[in-house]
Amino acid sequence: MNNFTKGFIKENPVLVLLLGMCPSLATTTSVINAVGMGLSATAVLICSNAVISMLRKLIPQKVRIASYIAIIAAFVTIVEMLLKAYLPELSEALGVFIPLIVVNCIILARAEAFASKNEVLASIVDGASMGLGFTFALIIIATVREILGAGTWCGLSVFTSGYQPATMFILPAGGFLTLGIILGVINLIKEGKKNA
Amino acid sequence: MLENILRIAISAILINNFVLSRFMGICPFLGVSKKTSTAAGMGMAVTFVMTMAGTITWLINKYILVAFNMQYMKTIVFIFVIAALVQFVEMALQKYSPSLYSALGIYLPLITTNCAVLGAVLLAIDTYNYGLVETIVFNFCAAIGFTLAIILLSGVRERLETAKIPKFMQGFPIVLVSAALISIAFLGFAGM
Amino acid sequence: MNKGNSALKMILTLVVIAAVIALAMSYVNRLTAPIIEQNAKDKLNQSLSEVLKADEYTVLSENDEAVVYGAIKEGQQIGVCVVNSAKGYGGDIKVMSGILNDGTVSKIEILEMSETPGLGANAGNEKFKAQYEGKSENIGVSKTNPGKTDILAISGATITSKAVTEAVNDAIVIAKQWGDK
Repeated sequence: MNNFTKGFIKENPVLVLLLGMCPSLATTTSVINAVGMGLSATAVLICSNAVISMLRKLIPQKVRIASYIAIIAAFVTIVEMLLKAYLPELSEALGVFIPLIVVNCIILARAEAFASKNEVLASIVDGASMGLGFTFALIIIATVREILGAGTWCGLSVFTSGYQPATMFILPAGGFLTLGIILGVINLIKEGKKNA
Repeated sequence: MLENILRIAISAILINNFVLSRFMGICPFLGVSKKTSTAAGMGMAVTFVMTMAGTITWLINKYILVAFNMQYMKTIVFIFVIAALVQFVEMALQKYSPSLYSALGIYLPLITTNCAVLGAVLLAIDTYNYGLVETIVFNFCAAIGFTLAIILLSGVRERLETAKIPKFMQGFPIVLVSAALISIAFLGFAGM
Repeated sequence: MNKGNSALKMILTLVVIAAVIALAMSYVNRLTAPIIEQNAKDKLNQSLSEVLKADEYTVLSENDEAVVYGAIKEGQQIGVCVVNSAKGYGGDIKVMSGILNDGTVSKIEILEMSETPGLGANAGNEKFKAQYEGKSENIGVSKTNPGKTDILAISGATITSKAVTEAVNDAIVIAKQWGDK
């Protein structure tokens, strides 16, 4: 159980380990995109962790990274094709960031640091934990950006009429600013805990 | 033709800057921007790999993937081209230009997982359907845009070293806020 | 294990992985390709009936510049839908314009664009697109006070507004050649 919850808070890949920054900034203009991106990456992470863990004793040490990349790229392509076929709108919104899951540091890092050393079941749990932690972080960033920048949450209007959305937050600059402030707030909470 | 190329170049460097407006290559942007000299080194290495990667993947896409109707293999083929290219550049530099190798060496392996490289290649070939010359220009200018952004940020960070910053904002938070301000400045180009 | 053996094992592992992956990918590709194609067709038909409602659409002409669809209602051609593109800020903007037989625009739709979210991408908003309805030729772009034949530019995205307008103006010219004579 501890294995499963670590991805959310203690070892959150985005907010604590600072991995996978590109999609966490690029796809968080709306909560729906963030969820789509997070779950796509989670699916790839679970599958690649499972397969890599299964093959961990068969893959020679020297070619392991190449093999991992090949396995990850295959799952990414499969997810990309499935999204295009069954969720065309989401696939259009996320665009090039779907194939770019291949170079998302989180996935390769978990393959190398966890799946290559642990049992299949543990690796699947690790993949799910890290993937959902990633999704959770994306949802937080997207919530702030969508509410401030567009005045909506998941497409639903949050404010009564008259709210003039601060477009800046869904522009690229707002992404950097939001993430910077969220990380600052996390530091503040950590410090407060230490002092208490 | 010339006008078109100029448009691609300006757009890739300034308006749709890869780092500041497309959010690609954020990891090295935040990771190796502590000093201007290392930032410039990373920029050079990325420029070289991206230009080469654009050329090679365009040829592979046109003469192998499209010819045999295997475009669905593009992501996997492209990432291996990039990985092989990085390896090759590393070996070649080590052999023929040790001084450049010692300057860039440590950044080279990081480039494989720099999503700006794969991103530029996929955008040029898949999204925009550029021709060979356009692809090369686009990749080269995207890399120049990356270099520009990372050098700008490193300049800001060198000054931040001596600035008084509240404790909870030190480190990544203040760097991200600085990046936000640079990004706002670049937004000015979008209104041109 | 000697050296030759381990090299062989490495190559063999990579080959086996590559083969399994290629097989899996081509299987999924065969499964999804027809659905993806159908999606594209559905989307096209939806856009067509959005810009100009009719019973059926036929391709009248297709070249690098534009694709022209004839809109047929009760056996009569009531107008054409033109798909063409113009250079925006972040690349080509693909626009579909529905144009009635009398040369006025019935509705436009942005099919593809990669403009800046929050600025140029606002061209996709209904309010912006609706401005083209009923206009007939040489549509202009104004930043402040649009006249009768002008549209109001999106603030902060004049180039995008001009690009969409250029595409629609071109479409009107093309439509004249294909209108019901």
